[in-house]
Amino acid sequence: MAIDRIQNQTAFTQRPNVAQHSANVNMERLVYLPRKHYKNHNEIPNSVNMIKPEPGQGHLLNGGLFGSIGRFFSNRIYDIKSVYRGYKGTANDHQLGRTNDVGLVLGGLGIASFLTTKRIATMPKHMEFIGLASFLASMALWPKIGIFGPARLVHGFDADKRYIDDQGRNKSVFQDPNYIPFDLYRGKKKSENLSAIADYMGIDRDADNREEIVKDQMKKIATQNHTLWMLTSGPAVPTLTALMCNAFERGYEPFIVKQKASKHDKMIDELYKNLIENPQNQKEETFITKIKKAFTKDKVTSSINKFTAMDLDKSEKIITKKELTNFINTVTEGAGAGVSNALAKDLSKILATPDKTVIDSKYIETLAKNIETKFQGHKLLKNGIISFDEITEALTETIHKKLSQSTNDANTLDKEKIKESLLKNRAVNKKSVEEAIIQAVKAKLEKSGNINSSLLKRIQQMAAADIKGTDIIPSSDKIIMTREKAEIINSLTEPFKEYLTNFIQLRKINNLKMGDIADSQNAYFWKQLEKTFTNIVQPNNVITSRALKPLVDNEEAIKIRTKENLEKLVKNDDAYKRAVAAISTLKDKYLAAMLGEGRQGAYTNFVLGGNNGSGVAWNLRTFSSQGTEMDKFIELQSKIASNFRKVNHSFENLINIIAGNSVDYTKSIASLETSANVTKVENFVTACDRLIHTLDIYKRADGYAHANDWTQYKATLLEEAKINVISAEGHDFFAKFNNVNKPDKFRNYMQLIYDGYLLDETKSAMSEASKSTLTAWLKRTHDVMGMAFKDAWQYCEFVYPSVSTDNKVFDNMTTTPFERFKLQGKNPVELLNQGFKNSYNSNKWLRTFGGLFTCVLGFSILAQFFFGKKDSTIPLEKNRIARLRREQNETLTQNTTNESVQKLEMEAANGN
Amino acid sequence: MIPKVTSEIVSCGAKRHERTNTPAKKNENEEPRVLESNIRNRTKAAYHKTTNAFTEYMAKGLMGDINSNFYEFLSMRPVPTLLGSLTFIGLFNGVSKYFDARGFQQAKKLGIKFAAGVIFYAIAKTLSKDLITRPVAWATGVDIEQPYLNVVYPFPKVIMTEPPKPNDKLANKQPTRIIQDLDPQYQYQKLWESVEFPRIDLVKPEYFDKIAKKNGLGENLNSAETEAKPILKNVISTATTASRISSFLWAACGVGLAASGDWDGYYNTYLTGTKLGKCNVKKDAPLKDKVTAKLNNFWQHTKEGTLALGNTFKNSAKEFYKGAPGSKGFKKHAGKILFFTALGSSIFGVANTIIRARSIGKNLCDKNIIDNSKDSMAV
Repeated sequence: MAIDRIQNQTAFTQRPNVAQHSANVNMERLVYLPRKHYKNHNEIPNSVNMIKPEPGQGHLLNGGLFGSIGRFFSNRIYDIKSVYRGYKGTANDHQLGRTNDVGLVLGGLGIASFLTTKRIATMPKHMEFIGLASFLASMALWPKIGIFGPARLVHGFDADKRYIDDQGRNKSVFQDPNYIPFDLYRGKKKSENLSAIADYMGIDRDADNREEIVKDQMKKIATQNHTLWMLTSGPAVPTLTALMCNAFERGYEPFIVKQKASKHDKMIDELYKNLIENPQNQKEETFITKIKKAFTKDKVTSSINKFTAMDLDKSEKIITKKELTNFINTVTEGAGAGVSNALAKDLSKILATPDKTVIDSKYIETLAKNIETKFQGHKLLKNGIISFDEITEALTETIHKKLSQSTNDANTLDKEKIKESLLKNRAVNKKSVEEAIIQAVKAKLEKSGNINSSLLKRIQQMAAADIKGTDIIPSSDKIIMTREKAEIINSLTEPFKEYLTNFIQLRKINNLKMGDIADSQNAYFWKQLEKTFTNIVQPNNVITSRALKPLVDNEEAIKIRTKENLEKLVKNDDAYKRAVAAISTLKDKYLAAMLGEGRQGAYTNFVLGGNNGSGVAWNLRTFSSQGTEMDKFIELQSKIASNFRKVNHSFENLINIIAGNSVDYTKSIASLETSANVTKVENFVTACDRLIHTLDIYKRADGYAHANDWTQYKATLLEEAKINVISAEGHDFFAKFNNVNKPDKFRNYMQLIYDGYLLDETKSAMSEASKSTLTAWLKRTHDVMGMAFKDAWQYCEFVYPSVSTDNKVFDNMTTTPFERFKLQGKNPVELLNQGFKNSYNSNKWLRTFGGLFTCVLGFSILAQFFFGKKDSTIPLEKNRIARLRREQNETLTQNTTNESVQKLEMEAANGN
Repeated sequence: MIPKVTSEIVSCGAKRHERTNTPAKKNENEEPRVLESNIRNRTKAAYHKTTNAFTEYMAKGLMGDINSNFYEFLSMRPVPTLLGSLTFIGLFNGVSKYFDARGFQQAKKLGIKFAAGVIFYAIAKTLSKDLITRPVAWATGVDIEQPYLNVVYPFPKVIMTEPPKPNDKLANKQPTRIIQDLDPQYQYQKLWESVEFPRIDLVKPEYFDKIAKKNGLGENLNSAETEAKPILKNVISTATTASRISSFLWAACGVGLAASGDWDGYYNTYLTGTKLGKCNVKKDAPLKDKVTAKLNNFWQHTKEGTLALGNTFKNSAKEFYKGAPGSKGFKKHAGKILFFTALGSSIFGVANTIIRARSIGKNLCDKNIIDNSKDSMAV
């Protein structure tokens, strides 16, 4: 192929001599010809002699930002056209080459779209597409920054130069070493001037055949660079992609979080309007919602209808247990396991038939088997067990007998039909089954013959007595549904559908903000807190992975490091204030985001229990009257729950779990979802409070260490507190920090540390940044964790659980272990552990990827200095000899002998 | 097609007649030849290309060899692909061990999925090409995968002899050049790789008789080559486009398959090789027993591993097609959509190629090829 091109090229470049042509043209005739624009040479009279190639249309492409952006889009249009022409069958080789790139992008889009389905959070979903874009970008970028950019600097020409050929195709000049269109270097610009390039390369101006030399050199360097490109892009492109994605992710995360938060606000307002403000106002259906509705399968209605559908001529319908389970699973999809369990319970109660059972062949088989096991070895039945057929016969007889008492219809009384229905599915009274079994046993015994009447009677009694035991009559795995029951189940449709739609919608909305996924607002703030506190403790600007390595997953080391660093930090007043302010600001930002702007007052009332200080006992009903952003969620939750109460009361369990009853509201889903949200807010706030308090304790200890009025005892307590505040868990309080037998010391400790005292520095730093205070949290911690209630001290001699879990001790306030746990927020050491781990991991990651990329880049830049040099090709050698000869002429006198020139030539030949 | 060694090509200074030491060329008159289109030749070609790409072509390219050509550049395509995949797999799996315990688990899981994804991508992309090329070859007679062995005679090498010592007055002052002819280079190319320059010269006339017959031009044509050429060019264009587009879509399916199943579980159980080392043989047992036990163990391991591979593949295919349990909407149907898009692209590609080829055949048969309305010189 390439050879063909060469031949074409030579044919093209061997232009006929123009002068010769003009000499051949009959000038006289031409004079009389009118001036005319000819489409092609066939039209021109005497054209055969005038054949002359038109000037080439091809030209080199030059850089320039706008030009390259424009070209990017025109190239993509060309790609699409190429695919079209490819499918049409009229594509040329260049266009066929482009189809490969289109395929790559299409495949990449397919992969990215599929992989989004494997991601839960929005951010990773977006990252799939961003990853694809980064990959394509790195493929384009790597040769520019890693190969041809440095090559241009070193060698003075662009080895990735592109040109537009006569047919308007965008091609690379040096791609095919056997066909390089050097004729396009017309010298109009510096980058297209072979002479300028030769100057840059340092090729002698007086060299023989200078243009050929530079062409050879360019060809060689370009070939080397193209090979280097192939060699390096393997390791470079994936690493560059990863680095690009990483950089993008950092900036993109806050944006996504913000987007989700505003989406949350908008959606919850809309739902609030529909459900609470204007519940009567039916939303006007737009065209799109109508279409959407038409195409969305209403699973609840359709599956309930299918489940309860019955033949018109029948009063009963038989359902298998599997059908029932499937039905429950389909209907309660997305509502959670609690709801499906409750529905299963309710349905089994509704569909229960105490005196009826369903008979089919499997049932009869089990029956026969049960009898066999029961009478195995029984001397009365040693002539053989009762077979399947015998039982079927007995059942048919019994049923026939019963039916004949009530009806004369021959069709109903047809024994064959009864038998057939028994083998399939037939609802029968349990009593009849018992009777039939006795009948069968009796018949069997009679058949065996050698039994007298008194014995038969005994057997009858025995058999009856035995058979009435529940272990012979099997329980059917089929359920009977009647019309009344179907109606009850049908009544569930509308309320349940409404509940599910609203509940799932609300949960979806709530997940945007409070969900347990990486890019919810709640998770984002935790990450921020982690980062802020890690920076406070480890304030070095560069946290290297080597420095972090001993701290990863080693809580003792973290404890020591934290203590050391915080002691250092509190000595610097400015740094201390900045640290307190940073945490306070974050806390305020969090509250503003979660409860709405300017709602800190509401928060104080609710979280801190108002002025009466009743504390962190979470009272949901009180909360809902505060009018915060989160309040809307709680109100909606209870509204959705209470709307469900109108359902038939047979669904007792379902109502209880969804809406709760007056007795046990707390176990309902509505309550759980609400309190989960509230707990999340509280956890974050308490964690912030605890961190500020920790800083305060270190500052106090630092200040008192130098004060005169500070007793040794208190100093000891404060010193102990330094470790306790950063690492204590709830159980440490109940072990009284190893002071079990010294209740007084523990009491003093609690009073000293948690009596509500804060340093002025802390207060001022806090008040500048935030509106909330620590007082209530401290008081509550003191009361609950120190157990300062009525008579509580007498129990303090013992270690938990006898004291701490026995709520009866505390008369004036109920505390649960969960509340006590919540009061501790998050252990600072744990927070730091997570923070160190994250920075260690990301540092390590960045070092590895960045390191590899830098290595490859360094290698490819270094390689440039070896390119174009090593092999002394003969033209270059000739050139050097010429230069040497010239220098010789200039510097040496005329007496210089030929010998010295020859000597120089020989040196050159040696490659010096 | 064989480049003639002319004095221009040896532009390095020495004329042909100056050659002092020319070793005898092997197979001087070796011509390019068509190879049979079968798996053996395809594997041979792939092996030849890949091994040379990493060794000879790479070395020639980096040295800027005068004989480095476009075929070699194109053959080096597996280099970035393989190195990139290895880097990708290696980095994700290699870095993970430096992470903390939880991070390690997460990264390792991800790393194995990535590795499986890369492998499946390659397999699906390679195999899916046959979905287009086989039916097209069968229906139109044009096999776009038809390989041929091209023979290229490279430019000779110029070797400089040791120059004589300066004080040796008797020696020739000029260094001697030796022009050494190189062995011919073999290139595994495809006959119908190019639309513009299909290697019609390499096939026998019967080949075009077959194409003409299959596409409805009839038999016993005066010049089957001329008549069937438009069909050939059309098929090259349509089938190449179809196979390129659809193979990437199938590759995407491959990645989807890797992302769906429990591949990391399979890897951890059967590929990490912990099972292989453990067999209950006493230390002092005779060698024969030891070997038997080892072999048995190996056999058992392989058998279980193969079965498990089948199961994992089945389950992942199921999950890919039906969506993960409990998913709905796009999540549930994404795999299905991807699969049917890929399948659709293959079917469309084949149908498009065949129908277009036949319709050209029919038109040519009716002799309606010259459109007089167009102002054109082409006939």
